[in-house]
Amino acid sequence: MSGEPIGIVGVGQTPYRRSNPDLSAGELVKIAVDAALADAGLGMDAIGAVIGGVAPDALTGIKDIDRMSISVPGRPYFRINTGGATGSSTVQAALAWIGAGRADTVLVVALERMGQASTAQVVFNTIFDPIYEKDFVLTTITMAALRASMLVKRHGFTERHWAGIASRNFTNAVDNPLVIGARARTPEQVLASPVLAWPIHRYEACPISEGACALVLSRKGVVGRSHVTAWIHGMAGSSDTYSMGERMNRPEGSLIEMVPLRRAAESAYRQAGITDPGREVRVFELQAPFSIIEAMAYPALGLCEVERSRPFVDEVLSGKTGIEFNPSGGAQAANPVSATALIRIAEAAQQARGLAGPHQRDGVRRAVATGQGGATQFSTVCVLSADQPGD
Amino acid sequence: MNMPAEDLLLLPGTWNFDYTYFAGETASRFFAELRDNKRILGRRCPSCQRLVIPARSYCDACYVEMGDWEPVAETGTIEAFTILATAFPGLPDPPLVIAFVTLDGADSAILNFVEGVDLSHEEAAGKYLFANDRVRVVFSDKRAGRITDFHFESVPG
Amino acid sequence: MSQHYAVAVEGIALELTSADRRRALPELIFSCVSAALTDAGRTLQDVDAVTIACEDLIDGRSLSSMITGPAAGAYLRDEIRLSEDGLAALSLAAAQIESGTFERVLVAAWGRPAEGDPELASARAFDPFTTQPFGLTDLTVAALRASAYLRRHGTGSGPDAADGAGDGDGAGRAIEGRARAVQARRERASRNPRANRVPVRPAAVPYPLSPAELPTESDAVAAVVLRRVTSEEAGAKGLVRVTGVGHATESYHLGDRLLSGLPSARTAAAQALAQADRTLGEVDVAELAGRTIWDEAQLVESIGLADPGKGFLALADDARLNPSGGAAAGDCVPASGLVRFAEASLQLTGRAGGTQLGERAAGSGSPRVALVVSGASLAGQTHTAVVAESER
Repeated sequence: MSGEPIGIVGVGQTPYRRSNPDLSAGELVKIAVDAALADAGLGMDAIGAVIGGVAPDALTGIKDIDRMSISVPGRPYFRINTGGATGSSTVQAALAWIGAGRADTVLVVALERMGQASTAQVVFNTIFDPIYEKDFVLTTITMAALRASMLVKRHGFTERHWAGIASRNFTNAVDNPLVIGARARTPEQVLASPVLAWPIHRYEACPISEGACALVLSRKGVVGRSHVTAWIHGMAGSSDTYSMGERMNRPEGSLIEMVPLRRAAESAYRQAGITDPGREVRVFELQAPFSIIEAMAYPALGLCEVERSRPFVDEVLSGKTGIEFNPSGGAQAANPVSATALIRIAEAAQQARGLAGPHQRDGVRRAVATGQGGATQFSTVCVLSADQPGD
Repeated sequence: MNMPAEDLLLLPGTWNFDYTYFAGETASRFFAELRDNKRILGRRCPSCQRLVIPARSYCDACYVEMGDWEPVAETGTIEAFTILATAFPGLPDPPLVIAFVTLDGADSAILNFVEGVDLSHEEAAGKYLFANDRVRVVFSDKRAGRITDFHFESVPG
Repeated sequence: MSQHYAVAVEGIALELTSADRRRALPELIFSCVSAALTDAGRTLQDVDAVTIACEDLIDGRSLSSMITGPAAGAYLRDEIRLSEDGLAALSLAAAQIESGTFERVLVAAWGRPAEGDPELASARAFDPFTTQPFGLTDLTVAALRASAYLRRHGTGSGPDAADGAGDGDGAGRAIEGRARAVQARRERASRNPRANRVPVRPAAVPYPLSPAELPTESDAVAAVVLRRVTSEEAGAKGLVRVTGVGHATESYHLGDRLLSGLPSARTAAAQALAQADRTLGEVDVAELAGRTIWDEAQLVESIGLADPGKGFLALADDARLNPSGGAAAGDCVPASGLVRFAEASLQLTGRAGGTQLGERAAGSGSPRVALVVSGASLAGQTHTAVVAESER
């Protein structure tokens, strides 16, 4: 990356649960913000700007809920909404803000308040094209299922692959105290759960979750030298056309090759000087609310060739890769939509800082977090390291 | 403060926004062709030459206006499908098959229901659809200028 | 110390229409963004990133940028969407260039009241427990502000008194210059070749506002191409640069805010001017995104372009202020700030047509220093300010 190093110096998260009837949105946010500031050893007076991330308003039932819960009087403030990628887009914006010299330290906060929505799926249905696609049942679930059918056809994936990924994520979540109600599940239990849209089973999809996540980002020199920091070595995003039909088969790659994720990864890796991610990165926190999305992400992230997608998943499931995926449980265990992408960055940062607690993995120098918005339409990749860039 | 759960206030709310979506000339013509001429028309990008259906007025990739209108064949191949299990308001009862189909001649796929598949056993239906991925277009007798004026029928073999 | 790049405005486009049935929303956006690229002499391939401002509840699509983003050129490139006023998106885009992240960023903002009702949508931003039950919307807040302003500055009654508050009951309050300011605004809008003066829907007018004081609700799209300035071309004649940016935030709670003024507008404008190393006196043109003329007057006063209570007089007599006709020429949230920026840029490049100002100082030529200010949810809780200048 150009310019002075920027790092994550404070992380704050709320527990993630289905709903929080005893807390207002502002109170939920405050838990995360207080924790992040305390972790950074800074007060709000040190914050040069606040960037808020809230995705579809309809999930919270309040328009611009960030205004009442995240914005801080006296601080420059704006809200980002890129759907599921919102959390990572806020970090991109913060990097630009600090890189432009507008502030030395920025607080980013993402809030999900979907516990107030009685049917999140009905809201998600309104993200699709009202002119050509309103009459069909396009939902986040059926979008994943449509991709799954392509994976079966082209790569010979079976249900056991996806059930295995889901099982691993749920089991990891048991060691993440922030995932309330985490419960390990075997692949058999996943396969025994009802089918939502064939071939996606209920336990391959994520639960409804609420929560807030806050990060403090600073340029080098703001906090003391000995302060444990996760340095940002690379950050990139790529957005795609909406139409699934136009993304089926293109010169750039088919729908299941996740072209924007691949491009974002290539750019982030290049910035970070990574040429062999499978060897150079120890932890991946993937925004994959469905396990089939995770299966597609591996080749897009340069971990295997597209043709070897299925054998690579076999290797992942048998623990042979030396890479840790979603030690936090990932988006499958808890998916507070607006915050998910920020949580992936937060979790990757904590891994790099050695502060992930019960789910800390050993030997982590570099960690990667991905963000995903729309139906695999917006993708972000963030490379973090315990070492300063250039070390 | 530790308020008993039953004292915590919950306020019901409903959002009921009405919208009027403008389809624009291109989509309007696409739908009119379905209704009046039982034809599926796409538009071809003068730059990359892709024939895109449903018809769009500009090409996302080349960022230029689409060119000529052209019909596509009424046979095609399933690219992706799923079998719906949950009921949705306003739709026929499940199980239902939806699929993206590339109609012969088109460079993009289009979404619609697929009929003519035995859906009594899901796994068997899935297997069948993987093995038999050809479909043909069937127009409804009563057409209203909506995307549901046609659907796909599975063509076995 | 890392290098910060300067930012130039390479191209602009603006389109204000009313319920054009020929074009779907993405097509409206495509048309305007294409025009901005043409104005810049560029193609989409030259653009590194797209920064957008739009709102789901106005577009009638949750995660609107899924469908509208590609219409603004977000095809296999970086894209960020702010749920904010368009001027904030421009500010972020400038930061993306200043930081060296990108060389060329396309900024776009839109709102289409022909498809959804922004006024109705705005109601849902207010607290459901304490405020929504009273029917607050952005327009009713404007009316509340107007009444606070009248309380503070209103005197006696007369030709400028609030409609309906006649001489008889003694409650009428007059604001000096109000009627003339309304007239001037209308007149400027009629000279603006880009104006749409056919409102998409009639508005219910809350007291003490009058119909002529409202914005002309229009389908609005604005697009701006920003690019990095190279060291060789710094100072090149005709170059328009973004030289200052400011942001400020007030309390969310209306009851905590000064309702007869806009302190965050003052702070944001002061920041932008300080960064540009300019004084208010050097501003040749100010485009201020006030939806009603009361908002314009309060913006003028808060920023310091007129003394308290003299905002309407200034709007009537100071030709620097909203020469475009402001929101009377056509407006929709959240495009407002970017529409104003486009108008200001046209002034700086001598292309404003019927509303073009000459250079204030002796000599001919177009204005040199522009100040643009715009507010956003909740009812002007945050303000963004941008200073742009053209090189001689």
